[in-house]
Amino acid sequence: MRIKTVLSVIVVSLIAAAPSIAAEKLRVAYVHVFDDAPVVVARDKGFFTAEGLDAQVTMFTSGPTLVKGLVTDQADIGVLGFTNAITWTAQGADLKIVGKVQEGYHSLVARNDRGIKSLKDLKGKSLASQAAGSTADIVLKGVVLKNAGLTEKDVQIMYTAPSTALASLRAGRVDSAFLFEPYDSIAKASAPVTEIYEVGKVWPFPCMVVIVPGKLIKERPDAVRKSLAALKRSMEFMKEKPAEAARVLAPAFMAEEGLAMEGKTIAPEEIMLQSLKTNIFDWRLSKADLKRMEELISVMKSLEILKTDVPLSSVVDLRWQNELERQKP
Amino acid sequence: MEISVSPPAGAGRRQKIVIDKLVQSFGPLKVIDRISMSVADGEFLAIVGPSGCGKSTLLRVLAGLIAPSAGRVRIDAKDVHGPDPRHNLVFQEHALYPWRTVYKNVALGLEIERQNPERIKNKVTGLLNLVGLESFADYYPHQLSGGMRQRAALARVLAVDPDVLLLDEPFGALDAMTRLTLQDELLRIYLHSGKTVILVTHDVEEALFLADRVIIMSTVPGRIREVIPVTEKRPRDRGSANLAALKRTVLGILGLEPVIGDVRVPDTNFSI
Amino acid sequence: MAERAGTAETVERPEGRGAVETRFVKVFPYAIAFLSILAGWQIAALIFPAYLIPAPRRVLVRVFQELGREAFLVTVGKSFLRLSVGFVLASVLGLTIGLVCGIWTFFRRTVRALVSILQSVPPIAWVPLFIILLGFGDAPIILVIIIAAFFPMTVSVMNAVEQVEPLHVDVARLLGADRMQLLVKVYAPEVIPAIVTGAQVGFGNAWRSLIAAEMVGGVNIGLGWFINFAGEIADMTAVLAGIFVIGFVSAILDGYFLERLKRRLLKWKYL
Repeated sequence: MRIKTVLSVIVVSLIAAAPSIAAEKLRVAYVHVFDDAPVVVARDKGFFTAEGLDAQVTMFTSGPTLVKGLVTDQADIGVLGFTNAITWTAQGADLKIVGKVQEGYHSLVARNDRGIKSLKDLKGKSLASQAAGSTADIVLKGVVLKNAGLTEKDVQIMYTAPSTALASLRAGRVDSAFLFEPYDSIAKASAPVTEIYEVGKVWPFPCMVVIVPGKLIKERPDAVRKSLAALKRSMEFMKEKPAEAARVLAPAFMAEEGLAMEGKTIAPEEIMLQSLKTNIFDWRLSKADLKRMEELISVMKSLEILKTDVPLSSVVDLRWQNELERQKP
Repeated sequence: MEISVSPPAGAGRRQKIVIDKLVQSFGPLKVIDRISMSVADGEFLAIVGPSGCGKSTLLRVLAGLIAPSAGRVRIDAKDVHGPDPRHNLVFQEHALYPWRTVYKNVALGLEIERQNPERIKNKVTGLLNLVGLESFADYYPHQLSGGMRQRAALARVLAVDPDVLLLDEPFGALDAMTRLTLQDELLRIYLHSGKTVILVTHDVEEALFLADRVIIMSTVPGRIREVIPVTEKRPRDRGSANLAALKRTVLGILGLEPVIGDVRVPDTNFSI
Repeated sequence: MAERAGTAETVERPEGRGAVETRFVKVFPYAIAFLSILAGWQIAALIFPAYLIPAPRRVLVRVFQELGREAFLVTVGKSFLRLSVGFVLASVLGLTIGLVCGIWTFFRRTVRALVSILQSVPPIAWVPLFIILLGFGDAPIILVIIIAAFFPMTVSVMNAVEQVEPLHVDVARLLGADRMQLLVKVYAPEVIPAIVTGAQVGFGNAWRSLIAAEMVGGVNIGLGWFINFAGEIADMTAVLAGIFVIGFVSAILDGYFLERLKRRLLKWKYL
């Protein structure tokens, strides 16, 4: 029975794939966070296919994991935090940042019963954050805490998966958390927490960018253009039809039954819509973005994550972005 | 049938051990069926019989390791209740502790008695000399030969100076030559100490060479079949006509033909 | 005494040449193992770019640099603290429960069932749950170590108590031993080999779980965290330096300290 089902699925997908055999194969990698929602939308709404790409989309749990796939030729293109490109370039890997996807929207939420009203109150408190060394972590230590006059030694930072951070917040095992969407919205909806800081409002920076290995640029520059075009369409779609985008995104990021909360259930689409509202997706790396990136590189040096100088110009290649901009009506 | 067994008449010695209608069962299996006998103080008694006749069980009951199912077992006119260092048992397997040296093995009983170290040292050294292991005091059991291990086991029991020595086929696992040597040594120790000894063996010659009386048991359930007194003066000549005749008698009772040139214990006198 | 003279020849004592040979036999396999790892590594380093697999020389230099850094020593020290606390607690707990199981049959059956269910779960799988239950920090990691090291010790001791030679117990009883003396003079020495085995297996488990738990346990100090963090910031030299330290330290702890302890406790087996 099961074998039959599997077989029929294979047959059906083979038939479905038949017309696109001519399409160019591309291994697209993304991080399973809402920040990378445009990749999911591009896949599920067929924007990659529309650009003539046969995209094999693979999910990763974090940027630092994804980037290893890029440098070991297990993925052709990735959407992840930009600092990953910097750290690996510093070690001698050949990576280029070719476009933007999202501005870093990360909320700092704190439990209401811990007396945390502002960032300064975090001193001596515990804080859950995602992977150490990730872009979010660098911003947290080098920008958010620093601007509040704190260092990483003042706050007990716990690195853990966002879902664990969320559960710990609910259980009161951690005082605060640095969260991105949709965990941010879920936390606010399901735990006794208040947002005390939003980095995207205070210190906007380009977080999720498109990174490609130099090999792809050399061998298939057109594939880079096609995928950037697909992502651009995806982001435009999300802006124009947020409700439909939310429906597409719900199964990817939320449990089917939604969120049970004080007797009533919040539909997954509702949470997705909320997350879409609190995020800024943009396909252009602006001058201001590049400046922010320069700043973050010096932050990375001060945190000793970066030990050598990495000129930003050696990591960024905006020719396809410029090309897409020229096509603008 | 019940055979009452008493020490040889005219020995004039008091009864050390009295067994009265002893029955021993393990679940439905009756291993010993109403045995009655007594052993005189200082007597050397040997028990022979086929495998499964309850010889070993009898020794365990005497040692207090098993409580009798029925009947009474008395030593020095007192019922046996649990183990008592004064009535000690040497097992067929040497049962030395592999983690203790020969010296420490022999010292075990004295440690348990909480003797002072000085006394332990004197006593153990003396015993090691007695059994000829003085130069192997620091060896572990697995470094010794079978005969040496059995000597150590004997010394361990002698250390607590029991007045009843129960020996459960102590030389059963040894080769013929070693066995003869140890028989001689056991005899020497017995003659010096005046202890009461009960030796269980399946070696008829061994029994006849050592014992004052040989008890022959029948199998399942174990009963006493015959008692053979051995009156020949010690040390006995293993090749004497008298012992050879007794051996034929015993083997006859056991239902076995006397074998000429027995493979296991040659009927010859070894010069040692 | 013909027999005495005859057997004396078969008795050997390890000394002189034997001892030298033993040391050689002990050290040589380690050297071979170490060199083959080094060779494989060097070959891999030649094939892959340096940012993926740095050469052994570079990593060794880094190891010494790190060993001179206070922060690294603190991190290693923290791992050891967690390991020691977890391992010691697990061993004591495993030993106690193992002994109780050996004596009390009903308890033994229950614990056996429990072990067969729980042992199939990799200790590391508990991390997310423990974090939520105990909060972040050392507690969940130590609990994972306890789980990892507890089962081998319990099972090993439990089996050993069941298999105590009844003849050995009888001997002591016949010599007049009371319960306490039986425990000290028979049961304890009889179970020691199992304790050593349990400790060795448990230690391996504990060490692996420690590193794994530090990698995912939400802490920001410890060897596992050090490797994880280095991996996140593309510092493969530090990753390999951390792995080198882990391998080296556990080889020393297991191959030297535990082995010495074992030989000391089980001296009689090695003569």
